[in-house]
Amino acid sequence: MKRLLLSLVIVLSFAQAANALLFVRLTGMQDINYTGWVIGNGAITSSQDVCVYSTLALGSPYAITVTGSGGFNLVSGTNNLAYTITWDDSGPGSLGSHPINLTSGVKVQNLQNANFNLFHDDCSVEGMNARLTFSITQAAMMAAPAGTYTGTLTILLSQT
Amino acid sequence: MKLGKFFKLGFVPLLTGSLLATNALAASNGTLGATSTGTVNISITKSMQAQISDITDMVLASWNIGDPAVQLYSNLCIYSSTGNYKVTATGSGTSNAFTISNGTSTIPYSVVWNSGPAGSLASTGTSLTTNTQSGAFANASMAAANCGGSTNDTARVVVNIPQATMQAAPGSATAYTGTLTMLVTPN
Repeated sequence: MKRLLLSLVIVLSFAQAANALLFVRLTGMQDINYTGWVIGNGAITSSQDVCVYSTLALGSPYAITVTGSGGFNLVSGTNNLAYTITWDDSGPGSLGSHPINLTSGVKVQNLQNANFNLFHDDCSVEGMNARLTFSITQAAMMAAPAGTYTGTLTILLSQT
Repeated sequence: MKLGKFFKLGFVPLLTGSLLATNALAASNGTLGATSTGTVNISITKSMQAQISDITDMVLASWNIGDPAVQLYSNLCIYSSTGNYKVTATGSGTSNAFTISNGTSTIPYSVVWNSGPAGSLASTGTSLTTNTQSGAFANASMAAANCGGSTNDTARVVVNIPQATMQAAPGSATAYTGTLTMLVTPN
């Protein structure tokens, strides 16, 4: 009985240690600024390539939860401006081929192509492996009253 | 006696707008951990713009004694990126007076602004004073700079001349003419 308990403790400790080694890191984020939209301009689209690093394994799945400060709405006083966010996990050299539409605050799992280079966890060797794309339709820009609309995106990276 | 009078008002549309400044922001990368959180700040600025269009000249070919007061109007498309605007109307007479002239005589007129909305334009509204910015008007188009066509015009400018004024004005073979300039500013 004592041996069984000891084995159980060892197994649990190992699992705990392994879990502690499963680290992730998200880098490469950039602010999105657009000034001076005027009538006649088109839709606004801004993409940024980012680095998803995970110690789990090369190409191991990961999850993200992207949350907008007002849902996916920017705010100017009492006015809102809706936007959309996509996440592309196609990996270096293939970004843009697999955009996934996101909903604010909703976790998306089983994303692929995370970086596993311990010495270059910023993807400086392999290249950025995910793409965040922000979009506002022309119709939404037309309908919005003039003003400066602001908001914040929070991207939570976790292991799947 | 029969008086023959005719006049023409021309319009000069003006466009105003301004750009707004943006904020200085800073994104943040995540740190290494069981989870990692990055943030992106977003700032989108839509400029203030206004446009007045679909203006037509107002022409009365002749006015004879016994005819009623003169009322002419032009429906207008007012676009404003705020939906609201102010207007400054300026006459071409002495000291910007709302007058038309045949070179020797003048006829004063008054100007009324009706701000719709589209589909409900009328010839009544707010009296304007020359070269003086009005109060705020609403109902400007935000959907399209041309209002989507003249059937969606959002304002009407009306020129009125009382019958007595017309009757008192000397008959003339030369048209009484003038220009009414309207400056629209988003509000």
